[in-house]
Amino acid sequence: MMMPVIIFFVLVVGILYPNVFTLIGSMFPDGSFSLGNFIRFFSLPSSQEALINSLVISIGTVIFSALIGVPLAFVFHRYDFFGRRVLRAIASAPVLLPPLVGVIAFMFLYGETGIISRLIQQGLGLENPWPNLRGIPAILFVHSYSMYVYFFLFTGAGLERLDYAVEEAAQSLGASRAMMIRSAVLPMLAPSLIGAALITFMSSMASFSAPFIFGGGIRVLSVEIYNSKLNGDTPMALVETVVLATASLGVLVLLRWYEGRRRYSSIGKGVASPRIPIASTTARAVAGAAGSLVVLFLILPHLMVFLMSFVKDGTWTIQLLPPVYTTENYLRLFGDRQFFEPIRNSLWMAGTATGVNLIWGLIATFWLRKRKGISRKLVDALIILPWALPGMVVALAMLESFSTVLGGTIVLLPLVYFIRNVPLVYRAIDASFSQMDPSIEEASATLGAGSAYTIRRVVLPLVLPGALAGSLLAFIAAAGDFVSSILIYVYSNRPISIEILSQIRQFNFGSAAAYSVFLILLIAITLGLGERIRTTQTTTMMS
Amino acid sequence: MTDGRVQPPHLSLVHINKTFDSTAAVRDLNLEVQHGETLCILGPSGCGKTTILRMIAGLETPTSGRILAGNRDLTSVPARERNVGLVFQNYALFPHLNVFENVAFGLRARRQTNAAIGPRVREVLERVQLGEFETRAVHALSGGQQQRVALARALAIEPEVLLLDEPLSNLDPSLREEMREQIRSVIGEFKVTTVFVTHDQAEAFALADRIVIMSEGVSRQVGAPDEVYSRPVDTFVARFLGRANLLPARAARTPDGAHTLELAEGFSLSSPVESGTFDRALVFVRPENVILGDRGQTATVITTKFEGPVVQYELDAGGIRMTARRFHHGQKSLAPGDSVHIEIPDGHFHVLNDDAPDS
Repeated sequence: MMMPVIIFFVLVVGILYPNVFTLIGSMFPDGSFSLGNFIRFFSLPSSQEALINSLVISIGTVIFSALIGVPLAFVFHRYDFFGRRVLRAIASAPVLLPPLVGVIAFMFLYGETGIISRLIQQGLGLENPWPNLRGIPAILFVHSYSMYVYFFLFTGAGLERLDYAVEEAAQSLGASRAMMIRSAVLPMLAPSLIGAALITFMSSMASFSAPFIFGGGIRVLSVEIYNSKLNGDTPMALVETVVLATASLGVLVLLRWYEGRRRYSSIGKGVASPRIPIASTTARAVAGAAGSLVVLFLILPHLMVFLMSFVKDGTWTIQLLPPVYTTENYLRLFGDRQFFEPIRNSLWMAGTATGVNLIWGLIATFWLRKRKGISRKLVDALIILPWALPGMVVALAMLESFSTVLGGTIVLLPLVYFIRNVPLVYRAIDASFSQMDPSIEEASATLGAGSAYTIRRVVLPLVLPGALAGSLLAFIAAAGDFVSSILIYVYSNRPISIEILSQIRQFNFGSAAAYSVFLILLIAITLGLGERIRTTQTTTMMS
Repeated sequence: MTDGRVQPPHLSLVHINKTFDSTAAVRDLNLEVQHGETLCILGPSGCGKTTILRMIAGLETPTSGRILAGNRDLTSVPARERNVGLVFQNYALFPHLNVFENVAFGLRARRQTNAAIGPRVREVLERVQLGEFETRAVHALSGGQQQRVALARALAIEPEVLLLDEPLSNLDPSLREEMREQIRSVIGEFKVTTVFVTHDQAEAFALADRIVIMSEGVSRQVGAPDEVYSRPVDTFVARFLGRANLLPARAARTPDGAHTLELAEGFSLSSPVESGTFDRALVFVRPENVILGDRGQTATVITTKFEGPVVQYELDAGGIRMTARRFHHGQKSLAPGDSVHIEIPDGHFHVLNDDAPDS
């Protein structure tokens, strides 16, 4: 009896209530029904601009991410070349950067005073730095860098599933190469591409760090919500939240609808396509050079942050490269209580939130997995909400609806971390469960094991690796979070990302970068751990 | 094991019905399994045979009817208290446990001591020839070895009844025969009452003392392998167990009063039963029982099919099509168009009621 109570308390109070509260709040600003704030929103030029910018940036992000990610996936899948495996691993390097850190690195590389901008200026003898990114191009640049990974991974997975025999069949039927790609490959890849496009679009609509830090004052919805709230215009913040939420949920509905009517799938297990080795020496040289450039571009932000972390605070002003280097930033991080506090805050908040995620996820999947019908559908729809809604939307909704009880306490932020990661952890555990052969539990029963014994000795050992791997991803997301934190933190629980921003604002670039390196390492180690757990699981799952 | 007294069957299924969402999977099934017997449930896929195993194991509850072990009613006893060893079609080994721990699982669940578990597990593993694989991870084993771990795990708990679900279907054809012999000898050694399910008649013939032939949830015939093969009760059983000639015949009498079955003008068989009770009948003959020679009814060869040890001929005998099959013994096969004489001697055929339900 405890289980459904725990499950539905989180779903109803943690997820449903804040969203309903926000929706009602936006339509009943003074206790009575009025769409006045919506009319105000849609008639204000600044709001229109924010909405249009958000949409334009998101569409642009999808296009650029596809243009980078899809060809790259094809190259990795179809060709064999020196360093292919290393490059493939590095292609996911953007994943290691928490949103805020990535944006800051890009600013220091390609912004007005960025190293690359000034290098190009000096090298070519230009009058002004170039590319001197800011505004929409800057946002698109950062977005494409971090979100092309969706296209790269989805297309790669799609190509892996593709039955090469279909291509050979098309060839044997006399299809030209172009025709083959158009009529045999693309339709089969369409589900992957459309899935990647929709997720990229949603991530871009939700993106906060890039426009907030690097946008040069450009208006986008996610930032407008924050500004309205900061300026005390809560009614407007609620309306903006509802508009942004509606746009994201609309895309989610589209995604679900598309997944439902997906037409193509390979019938057989399929034949893997052979990788074509690049044979000619010139082609290899060109490929090698291009590959190295790509690698350099991909890890430049990481290198930048690493370099900056050794800069003595306050010494780097107008020089191309920082003049003075020191290790004091790192020493202070762990030596000075004041400096260590954000790290401690992030670790305990992310750790607690993730621990609760894991426990709740296990309880929920266990209770829900044998249930079907309308109630299950309802639960699934509720669980997915925090994933589908932009971080700013979830954070504002929870801040507004819980402000009377938890406002200003240190509990609210880890609670938001928890709610935002409910979908991620739940789905990881659910996937783990569905990989488990159902007859294994029956085998346990026929061998005389009671249900408690079966859970302890069979179910948990089999589900836990996947559950832990999912929880580690949740931990990463919480530890690197910026968008919910900036709205909800209080001084005594300020997390690393908030401290990075405040150090940047005080021109203490070295300290900010040292925190960033710490986050990158934390993410890398956690991901590595998750990968290890996952691979041990897949080997034990094979039977 | 019988001492002359009348002993109740080891396992009885009494008027069992099982319905899933209004489709009947098993209909009014009655079955008795004797002590130490190996019973095979044979039928095409979807005939309800796995459902029967699952009901015996306690993984499904019959919609109506009773399951008895001796005189004990098992119907509502949960699976974990039935002491029935089930070998799943996909083996369902515990992937996180090694070979030893898989086999020990049922004993640990029964709270046996390590001192008791170790020797028992080793003994069973020895019997299935996996003695030296104790510490292996189960996913590092071949399909046949995994099968034997599953068998050992089911036998380790000293089950009342051993249940095998399609025991050979997941193995390579080349391995099947070897594994079949292994299963046979293990069942024999453990003297355990066994019920197994298969869709493969060769498997059923090789392992079973008795066979139940099922179709669409109904038991069509129960009998020893040679009995169901050569004396099927209906056309479904006749066809399911191998190639069958089912020849429509008319009951007639010779001038001297003997009962005959007339297949065609001038082509009659002497009837083994009083034909006065019916008008029309089906004569069932296996192809190997159609004797080709130089006596009897003339027939024309229509097609010839070489199948290795035997040659199969499609024949036209006075307007009746039938299949004959014989060892070729190295001689030249008959060619299409050749004339041949056929005989169906007494005792080589069996008469079915013509109005028997056809499948």
